[in-house]
This record gives sequence, structure tokens and C-alpha cells, in this order.
Amino acid sequence: MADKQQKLEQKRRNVIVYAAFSVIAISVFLFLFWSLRSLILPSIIGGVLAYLFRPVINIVRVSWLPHGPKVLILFCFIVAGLVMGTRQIKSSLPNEKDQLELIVRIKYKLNEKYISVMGLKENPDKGNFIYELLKDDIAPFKTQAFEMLSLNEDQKKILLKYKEGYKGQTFNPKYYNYFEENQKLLPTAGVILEETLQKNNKKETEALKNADGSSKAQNSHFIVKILNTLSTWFIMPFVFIFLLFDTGEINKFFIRLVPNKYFELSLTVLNEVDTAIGKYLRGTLLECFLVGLTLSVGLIVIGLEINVAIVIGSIAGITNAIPFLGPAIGLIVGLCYALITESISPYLPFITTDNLMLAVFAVVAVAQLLDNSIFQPIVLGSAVNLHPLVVILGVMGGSIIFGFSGMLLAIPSIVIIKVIIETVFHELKAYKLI
Amino acid sequence: MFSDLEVFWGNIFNNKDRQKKKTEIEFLRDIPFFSNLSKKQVIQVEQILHKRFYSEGECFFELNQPGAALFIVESGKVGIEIPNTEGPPILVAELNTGDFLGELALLDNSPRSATARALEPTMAFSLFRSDLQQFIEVEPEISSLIFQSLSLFVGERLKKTTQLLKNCREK
Repeated sequence: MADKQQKLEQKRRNVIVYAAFSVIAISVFLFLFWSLRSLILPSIIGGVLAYLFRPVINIVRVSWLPHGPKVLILFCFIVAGLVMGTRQIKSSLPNEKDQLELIVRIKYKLNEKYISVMGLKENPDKGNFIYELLKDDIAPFKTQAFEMLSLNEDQKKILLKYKEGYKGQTFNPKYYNYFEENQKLLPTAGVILEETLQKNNKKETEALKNADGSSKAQNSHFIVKILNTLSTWFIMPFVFIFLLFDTGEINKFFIRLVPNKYFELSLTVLNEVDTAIGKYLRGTLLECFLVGLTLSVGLIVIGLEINVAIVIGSIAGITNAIPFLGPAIGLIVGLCYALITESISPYLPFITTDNLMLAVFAVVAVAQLLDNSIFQPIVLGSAVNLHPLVVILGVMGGSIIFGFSGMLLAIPSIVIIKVIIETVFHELKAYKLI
Repeated sequence: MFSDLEVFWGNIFNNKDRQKKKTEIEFLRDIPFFSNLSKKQVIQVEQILHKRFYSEGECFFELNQPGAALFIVESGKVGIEIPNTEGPPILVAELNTGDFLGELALLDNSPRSATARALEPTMAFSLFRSDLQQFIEVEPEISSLIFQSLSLFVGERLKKTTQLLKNCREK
């Protein structure tokens, strides 16, 4: 009887100790999670990259090369690839003069297309039926778009410098004419712009006045800010390298904590989840690459420059990981370029600058069709099916919490959670534990 | 002087763990299952093994559960038993240090044919099927040697069972 009492007492003490420990552990975890939240994204990206590249390490069978140096060599290759890729993209990106030209061209062409679609060329006052139908609805968007594309005073000064020849470059006279034409557009928008410019200038002068006194403090603040950002992203290569260095020790450590009763079950669950997630992530990566490649090839065929086609293809490929929104981003970027392009060299004779936007639309549609009917079924299979509503809510939720990266990582995260829950329940039933 | 150095480096490189690992590798090399592997190969296999401690009466696995791993007894005693509805479970076999159990789980996840229970505090290594399957891609030579051993042992046990059946029929 006394023995039973003692056991009951012990059980009660156990419950108290475990409960207290759990509460403390959860509180500490939540506190650390919140305090170190800036490290989460770099760590996740480092982890995902390590996960994606693990098979590469396994494929390379060089018996005399130990695991550590293999990882370091792979890391060097990745860094070299990244540096080369960044340089390539940087060289394709427009410089200061090109940027100004681009803004001027976009604004001019946008206006040109607007006039031709609305039939304002033939009938400047009335336009066609589209104009009659939509003029009130479209007007605010048009004003806003033109405001966004207006050059500020500094930019105008730089443009004029380039016109005369600046930094060894001259502003294209044709585009300067566009600029002059643009100046005549939307006087109201111009007034608004002037006001905002004046306000900005006032703010800037005030800021400059303040800055004189505390420039040293600001400089040090700026350095600290840069160091902080760098230090949070510094963790990414470390996570990547150390996860690849690991030869199963992390896995073993967590498995060691599992009670014997659930040992085989946990190993099975881990393996199933690992297989499913690995297939999904690598599949998604391959799918994005294929979509990007299809789009790049398609854009080259319809006459875009190779550099531009690759950049647009890369953007569309990366954003393809975001369901629904990704293809739209690719389409918008492609259409924007088609809008401003002056000359093309298409492989298909019927494509001209006038129907280029239509051709871009067709290329994006073909890429999406191929993605949905061939790439996805072959690469991803039907292993991970999500309800469209879950996808939309996930993408929106991700963007609200973490911005663009949240949008990009929302679906993979939901898939991972889904796979874990499904596998755990399936195996718990197989082991007759539930 | 040398002992001082050993203590110094031992503190840095955790000599105790190294010694422990060395003993474990020596133990694994003596097991017939890994007898056709070189020392270097056994060290590689050791990286995918899990070490578990089972208290007396604790189950390794139960009858009809899906099999996922092979167990090698490092120390202690394991009983292979079949549950009996009319009384205590029937003890079919007793396994000691160096013996292994659940080897068919390395081939597929078919249900376990018996229950394995620790008859005394037991330390065991376990080799998980998926780890071995992944090992085929990384170290095909070692994996093929392990599968060769496995097929030899399964064949041996089949022969023994056939002989037992034959003896039973003759009786």
C-alpha cells in the first residue's frame, strides 16, 4: 500500500518536473525564435541548399578524397558559379544612362500604345468605343503609371549631361526626342510631381542640415547596419558547409532521444519524409529551370536579344516557384520589354515589333502549357497535391509574414508540413500505435 | 612527456570517444556479418549504425509490425518469442553477444515473424534498411558485400529450417 502511494507520489513529481521543464523550454525557444528571427531565413536557405546539394556529394565517387575536402570543393564551385552568374546578370543590367533611356522609352511607348489602343490618334477627343467605355476607370492608373515613370529634377540634369556626352557615353538622340515628347504629357501629373519634388527637396535639405552635426554618428550607424545585415547572411554558408560536413551525426543525435518503442517508427518516418521532400524540392528546382529555359528559348525565337531573353527567363524561372503569381511576374516583365523594344531579329518571319507583345504572351502561354502538361507531371508527379485554396492562402500568408521570400518559400513549407503529418499518421497506423 | 601530449591532444580531440569507437569497430569486425569487410570499410559502415540500449523486458520489435532495421547484439541477451493466447509467450530462441536479428527487414518491410525482447539489459547496434539502400549509391562495393553476407545467412537459415521440417516429418 505504502509502495503504491510512493509510486503515485513519484508520478506526480514527474508530471510537475516535466511540465515545468516543458514550459521553460517552450518559453526559451519562443524567446530565441523571436529574438533571432533575422537568422531564420539565411539558415533555412543554407539548409535547403545543403539538402539540394547532398546528392551531388554522394554522386562524386572519388575514393581517395575524404568527405570534408569534397564538401569544400563543392562549396568553391558553387561560390565561383554564383560570382560568375552575378557578373553575367550585372553586365546584362542597364547602367545609369541605360536606366534613364529605359524609363523614357517605357513612358513614351506606354503612351503610344495607349493612344493606339484607345483610338486617340484618329479621333483625339472621342477615341474609340474602348476609350468611351474605360476612360474613367483607366485614367487614375494611367496618371499613376506616368507619375512613376516621370524623371525627377536630378535625373533630368543627369540626362541633359548625357545628352552633351558624359562618362564617355551619349544619350541616344531618338530617346531624347521621346523625353521631350514625354514632357508634354499630363500637365496635372507634372504639377503633382513638382510638388512632391519640392517636398522631397525640403526634406533633403533638412536632413542635410541635421546630418552636418551628426555625420560621424550616422556613418558609424550605417556601418553597424551593414555589418548587421552581413552578419545575419554570413550564417548561410556556415549552415550550408556544416550540414554537408555532417555524415549523419545530427540525425543520429535526434534519433538517440527517441524511446526504443518508437525507434523503428521514427527512422521510417524520417526516411519517408526525407524522400518525399527531397523529390519535391529537387523536382521544383528542375521544373523552375525547365520553365526558365523554355521561356528563354521562346523569347530568343521571337527575336529578343539573347542577354535579355536569359534575364527574363531567369526571373520567370525563379518566380515560377510561386504558384499563380510567378507566371504573371514573368509575363509582366516580358510584356514590359516587348513594349519598349525598337528592333527585333525574329526567327519567325511574321513577328514584328507591333505584334511582339502578343508573341511574348504566346511564349509565356506555351511555357505554362508545357509546365502544366509535361514538366510538372514528369518531374513532380502527383506526389504532392495541394488544394488551390491552400496554395492561394499560403502564398498570401507567406507574403504578409516574410514578404517576397515568404511568398517563395510558402508552398515548399506547406508541402513539408503536409508530408510530415501524412507520413507520421500512416506509420503510426502501420505500427498499430493508433 | 608523451603522456602529457596524449592528455593535451586527448582533451582537444576527445580521446575517450575515440577509444570507445575503436572498441566498437573491433567488435563489429569480429561479427560474421561483417567478416568480409576490411577495417576501413567497417569504419564506414559504423557511421550508418545506430546504437541503442534496451532495459530488461523492453521490446526490440513486435510480431506483425513492419520491419525496418536489423539489430546486432553488442552485449546482453535477447529472446525471440511468439505470443501465446493461452499462456506466456513461447521462447523460440535466445541471442547473445555477436548475434543478429531482424535481418529480413533489410530486404523489405514485410511484417516481423516474431517478437524480440531484451532478457537482460542489452546494448545493440541497428542497421536501417533505407540507410543501407542509400549506402548502395555512395559505397556500392561495401553494400554488395553486406548483401552477399545477408544472402548467405538467409540461405543458411533456410537450409536449417528445411532440415528441421524434414526431421519433424520423419519423427
